[in-house]
Amino acid sequence: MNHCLPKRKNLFLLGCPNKDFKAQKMILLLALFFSSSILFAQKTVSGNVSSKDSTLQGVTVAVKGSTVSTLTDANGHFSINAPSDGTLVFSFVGYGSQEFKINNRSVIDVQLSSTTQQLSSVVVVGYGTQLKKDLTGSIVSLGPDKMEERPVVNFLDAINGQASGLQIWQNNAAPGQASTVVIRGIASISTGYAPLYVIDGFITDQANANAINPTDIQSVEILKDASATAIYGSRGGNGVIIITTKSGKGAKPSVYLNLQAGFSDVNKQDFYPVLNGPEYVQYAKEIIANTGPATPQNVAISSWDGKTSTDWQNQIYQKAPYQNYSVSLVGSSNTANYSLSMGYIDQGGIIKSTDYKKYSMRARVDFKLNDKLRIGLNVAPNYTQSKNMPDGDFISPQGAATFMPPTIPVKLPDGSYGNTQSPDYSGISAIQLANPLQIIDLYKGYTYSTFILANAYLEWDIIKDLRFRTSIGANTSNIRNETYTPSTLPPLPQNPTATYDNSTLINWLNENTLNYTKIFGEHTIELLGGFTYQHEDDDDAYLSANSFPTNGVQTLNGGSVLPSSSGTLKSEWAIVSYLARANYNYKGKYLLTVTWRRDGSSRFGSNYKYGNFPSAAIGWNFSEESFLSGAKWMNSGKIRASYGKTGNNEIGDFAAIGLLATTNQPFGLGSGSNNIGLTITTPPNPNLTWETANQFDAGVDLTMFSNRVNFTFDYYNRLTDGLLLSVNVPMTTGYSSSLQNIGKMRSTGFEFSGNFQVLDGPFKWNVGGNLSLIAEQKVLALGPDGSPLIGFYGTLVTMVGGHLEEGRYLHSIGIVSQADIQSGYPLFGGPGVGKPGDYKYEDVNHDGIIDNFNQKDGKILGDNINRGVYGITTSFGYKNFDLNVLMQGQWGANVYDLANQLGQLGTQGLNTLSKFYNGRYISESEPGNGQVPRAGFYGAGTPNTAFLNPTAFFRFRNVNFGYNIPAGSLAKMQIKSLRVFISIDNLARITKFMGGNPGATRFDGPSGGAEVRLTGNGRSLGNNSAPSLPLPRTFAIGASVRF
Amino acid sequence: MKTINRKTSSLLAILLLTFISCSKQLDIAPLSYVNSADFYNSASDILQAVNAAYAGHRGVYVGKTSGLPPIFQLEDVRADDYDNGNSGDDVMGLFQVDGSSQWYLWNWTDTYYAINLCNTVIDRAPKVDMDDVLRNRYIAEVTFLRAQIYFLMVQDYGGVPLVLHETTSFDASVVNVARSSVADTYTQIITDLQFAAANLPETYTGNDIGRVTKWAAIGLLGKVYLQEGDLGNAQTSLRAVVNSGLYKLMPTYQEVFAPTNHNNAESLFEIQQLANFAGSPYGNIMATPNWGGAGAGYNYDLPQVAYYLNSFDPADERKVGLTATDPLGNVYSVKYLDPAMTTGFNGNTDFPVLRYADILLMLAESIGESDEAYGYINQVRARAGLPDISSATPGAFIDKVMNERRYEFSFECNRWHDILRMGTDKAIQTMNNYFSSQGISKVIDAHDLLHPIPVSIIEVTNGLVAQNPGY
Repeated sequence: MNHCLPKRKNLFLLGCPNKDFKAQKMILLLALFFSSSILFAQKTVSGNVSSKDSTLQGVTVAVKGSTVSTLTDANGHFSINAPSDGTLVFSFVGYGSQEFKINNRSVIDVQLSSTTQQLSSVVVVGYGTQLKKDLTGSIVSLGPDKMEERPVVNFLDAINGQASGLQIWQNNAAPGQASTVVIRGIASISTGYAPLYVIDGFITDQANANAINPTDIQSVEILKDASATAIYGSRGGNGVIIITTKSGKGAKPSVYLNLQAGFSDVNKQDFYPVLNGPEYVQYAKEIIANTGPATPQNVAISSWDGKTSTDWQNQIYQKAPYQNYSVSLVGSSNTANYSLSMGYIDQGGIIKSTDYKKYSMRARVDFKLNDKLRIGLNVAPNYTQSKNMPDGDFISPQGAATFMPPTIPVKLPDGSYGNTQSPDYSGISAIQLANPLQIIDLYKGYTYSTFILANAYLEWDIIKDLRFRTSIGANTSNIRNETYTPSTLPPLPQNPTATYDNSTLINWLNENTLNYTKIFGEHTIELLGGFTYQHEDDDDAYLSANSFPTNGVQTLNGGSVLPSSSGTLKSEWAIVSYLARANYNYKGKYLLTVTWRRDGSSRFGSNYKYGNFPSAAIGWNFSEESFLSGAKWMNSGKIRASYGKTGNNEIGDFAAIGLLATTNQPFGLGSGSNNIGLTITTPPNPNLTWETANQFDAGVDLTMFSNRVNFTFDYYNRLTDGLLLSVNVPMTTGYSSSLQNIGKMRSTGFEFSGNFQVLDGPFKWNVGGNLSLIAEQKVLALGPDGSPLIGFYGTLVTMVGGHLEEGRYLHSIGIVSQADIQSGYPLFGGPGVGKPGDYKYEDVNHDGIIDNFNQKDGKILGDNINRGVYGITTSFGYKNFDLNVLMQGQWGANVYDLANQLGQLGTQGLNTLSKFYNGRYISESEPGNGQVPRAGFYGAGTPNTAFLNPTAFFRFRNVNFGYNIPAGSLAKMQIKSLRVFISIDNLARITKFMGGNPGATRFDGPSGGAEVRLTGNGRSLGNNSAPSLPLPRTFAIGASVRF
Repeated sequence: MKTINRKTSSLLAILLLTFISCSKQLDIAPLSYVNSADFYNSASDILQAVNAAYAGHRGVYVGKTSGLPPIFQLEDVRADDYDNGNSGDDVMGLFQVDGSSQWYLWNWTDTYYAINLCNTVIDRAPKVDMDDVLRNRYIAEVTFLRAQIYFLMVQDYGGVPLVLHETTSFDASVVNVARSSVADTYTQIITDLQFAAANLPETYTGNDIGRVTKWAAIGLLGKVYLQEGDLGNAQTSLRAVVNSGLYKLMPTYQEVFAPTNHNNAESLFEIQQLANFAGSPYGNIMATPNWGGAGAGYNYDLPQVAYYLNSFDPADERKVGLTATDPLGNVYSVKYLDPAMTTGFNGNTDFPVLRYADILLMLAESIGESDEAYGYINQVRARAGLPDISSATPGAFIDKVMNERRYEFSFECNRWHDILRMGTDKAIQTMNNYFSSQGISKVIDAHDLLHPIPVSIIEVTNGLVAQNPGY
């Protein structure tokens, strides 16, 4: 272990091919290059490198203990000078690295395995690649094995749970809906917190990343610390996700066929437990007994036929078919690499009549024009369409199914659907609900999306060691939403309404970089400099119409277009950037990375048009030190630390300039006529700028016991400053508030990931996992006077010294008993109003009065921030069989479940959760379990801790059982390899969470609520306003074939 | 190596050129809006800014911030004749509000938004290359609007922060403005109105009809003088309006407010409404929840039935069609309800700010008991179908004028200010008489004659803006 390890390799950027290298007929289409400075006198070793299904081009082959290395050519062939008793190290992006002793052989053929991630594999970083060994930043690299064979429609669903520091919340589990993605927790109070997405070098967004067919993806890198993200400057502050698609490889064309088919269904564990018919009627009787007769309860009792007990949630789900087919043609020649693919995914939604289809194509070609010039083109059109259901408390199928009284039959004797307005049941609920099957039948909602990403590049080796690369690309997308709510959909009368929303964008990116790599003896330096320019035009057209005279015509020409909710909006932004990076490496032991980016953005105020985002990092491969040379168990060990500054530019396109909008001002005689004025909407704000994240990261990477154990640890401490807040100003200015960069918060955490190859040999067993812990999240500054931000009817409080959006509620500590009343325990509502069987609340300020939650007795109790998030993988292999299991979980967060609270308002006639029935207080002699209040208890609308819903869960995210058919039996059929498998997503979960998906955090309030939202995206982290859709349980069988 | 250097340097030169050409790209115009830094450069720009100031002024009357107009709360519900329908909601009428009430927050937000729009024109127009007469007309229009708003404010709150320039900075030293005295506020109002009167045309044509005229400015000046107690100046101004001969009473009371009679011969200035563009919300605001027409009913500014509605002279034609009764028997005003309205909050009925009947009654008030004064009053009574009154009619002259105003200006936001004009003692007495007549135990004192200052402005200025006494 006291030898030098191979020097840096670099993807995309050309360095200094040496003489030996030039002697080879090497194709550098993907621009991997190598360099070496010290040559030993040795023999030539050659061979071929392949993976389990193809030859591999561009694999780095290095002589261990020297700086000699080379790359495999298009046929996977390599040739290298090496000492006959030496060892060769093979490494390749997305694949493991393997060492082979030469043992005097002159020909060595190697098969690389992509199943384990090891320390010396190559990872994609911003504007380049690096050996993982030489990395100083905190980056998780996920290879194709982490995404293949999963019955999902986008890569985020596949990688969920597989990377430390990454949280993915499927707020709407309908297929194709966007998840919320957060790296290292939310560190912004009011602006965007989404990471930056980079697809094959093109900076884009989540919608485009989701559009990619997961089988096209070669690797996903998650960049977490400032050393890794600062090269993305004002957009790196929330972390970066880099997606690299598969490129051409292999000498002969190979055809890959991936086939999957199966079905999705609902796991009944995810239903809200609600009352059945007899329980519902009993509860209604008790409400009357406790609070007096009322229409809903009277109707509930009188309308019940004594037997109807509809399980509404059982009505709305279906066994939805799932299909996923893709075919690709991959190959290369002396002058070209190509990868062409097509894919089709059709995933039915588990809610009846919903589904999602994705059609995708990709062409990635690279041409070598001569020894110095290369060009390439990457074009990927994707089209998706989905049929959707409305999303909301009472209007979604799952919402209506949760709350619909169980005494109403699905169909009335006359064959029509039963609902709360059916003649026999009219009055049963104060809130009118459609039969969920009516929603499914009658509501029309569609989304059609087209994404086209096209990027072309030219690379020019100007001189030895110096490479210029320029690329120009465009990303165009179009997303169209259409809805129609017919006049026949309850609640009646329904004004038939249609909406049509069409948003288009085109985003241009030009990047120009120079890369210089030089090795001086034991010193390796690599310099990167660049200039980029990106520009986006957004165009949104929205139309709304109502009063359709007939449901026969559902396009907007059939109704009256509403001028006040129809129009078009345009927006635009541009960013100009200068970037630079220097990597220095001494003997492969001591690593230094310094990066810098200067961003100028159209979004920033004129006083802060440009920002500088520097970072520095050091690494020490301590295992290379001589004092550890005796430690044979240690394959590699590295300590690294980084500090840097990144930004969050999600402040809105025009927040910094004064905007004038048109306004109507009539004049004239008679009925009057309109004139146009331009009125002030926002003031100029020349000081407005990015939010700044200052992040320190320290980490350890270890590989031990013949690479059978690897382990990575990271600690981060992120101080975000200049958080955008809306600051109150005297209204005498003509404005109520002004956006200013004044908030501050700190978040710290620990991340662990590791892998242990327990058994190798005929029976293989591998265990891996990742764990992310949030140690601290603290708001340090808010506005000039530090006054707290109050959200969501006063239930969410963000204050200095606290966490983001902490919940404020009355603290329920049991149920009021007759003895409590006699002893004078204060009652909510005051003496004589509160009764035995009501919630008993903590009198926080001990004044003998229970004040409301937003006043003196409100108590901060919990938040919706996971303290820990983890994923566990285990795989077993025996001969050609393998079994892989991915488990996932989280703990520490609560949501305040408004759906829970809406449901318990039995007085309104909605169905009630079983939680409020079982163990309830009935009388002093039947006090229940002491935790559940009486029917019709006082203060049902008051937020209290009994409605908190813990979101901790443990889930079997995926189980995959596969069989590789032996090659011998396939040769006759011209099949090079064939694998068959069964893959099951979301097989089972353990959670105390009730209703839907504990991994969902819904950001929308109840419809029509007077919510006090924070500025920006108006999120409320801590509330779940409607039953969330359960995650589909998907069973698929599949086959992967290579011809 | 020389070749290399040439290549390299030429490449760097290309890159550098790219840098320079791209830096300009960061100045991006917002296509769906106008960048205020690129505006206010031409006469046409200033005209659009003036129109925006009118719209902002309209916002004070229709409640731009909340969609609910505070003005009916402050000027009518506060007074004796009007009420809020929702039980427990008549905190304004019962003097139970303090500065934390949203009505004040909304009122100040709407008001100063409009004032900033006026100030923008006043500051920007002088820098534009345009015809001087037109420039002064534009400035005069918004000066009137600003004065009219400050006039409402000074009556409601006493002296207020006088902001006279566009807000261009949020520095604390600039934005924190203390309240001026009542006298200084009135001085500013009069200065503004005198400028307006000197620079506005007497009339407009076509689609400009409805803009502020010279006579509107002079008429409002008369109203301001009258409210201040300067009867001489009031009389001079108001008599000038009458003598202009440009205005007359409409033949019937109902024609004054007809949704198709905008800016009629009786109108000196009114809030312009236009269905589907800037529709009137008042029909819905005043309707009861069960009124049965398009849009919700808000129950605001309902008439006191026994105390007010039933006290109309039975022959008074002003009561005809003034109110309606909903299916539950609740009475609400339909004075501003456009019968052709199909979408809620979207009527076509203008709202009067200053009309000739007001000029006549104010002129009578400023002259004092005399045949001439009764002559003006009787013009108004005659249109209402009521017999003449004279010095022989029982009662004090001022009470007879006030009585006429009480029925002439129903739901026109004049009542509270008319009560205030009678002086502290009489105003308190009027209100307390009303309370006792209704069996309400409330007794008000002098501090109740001013509304409270919204607490948010006090907090954000750290008390620089002072609260009114007693709140």
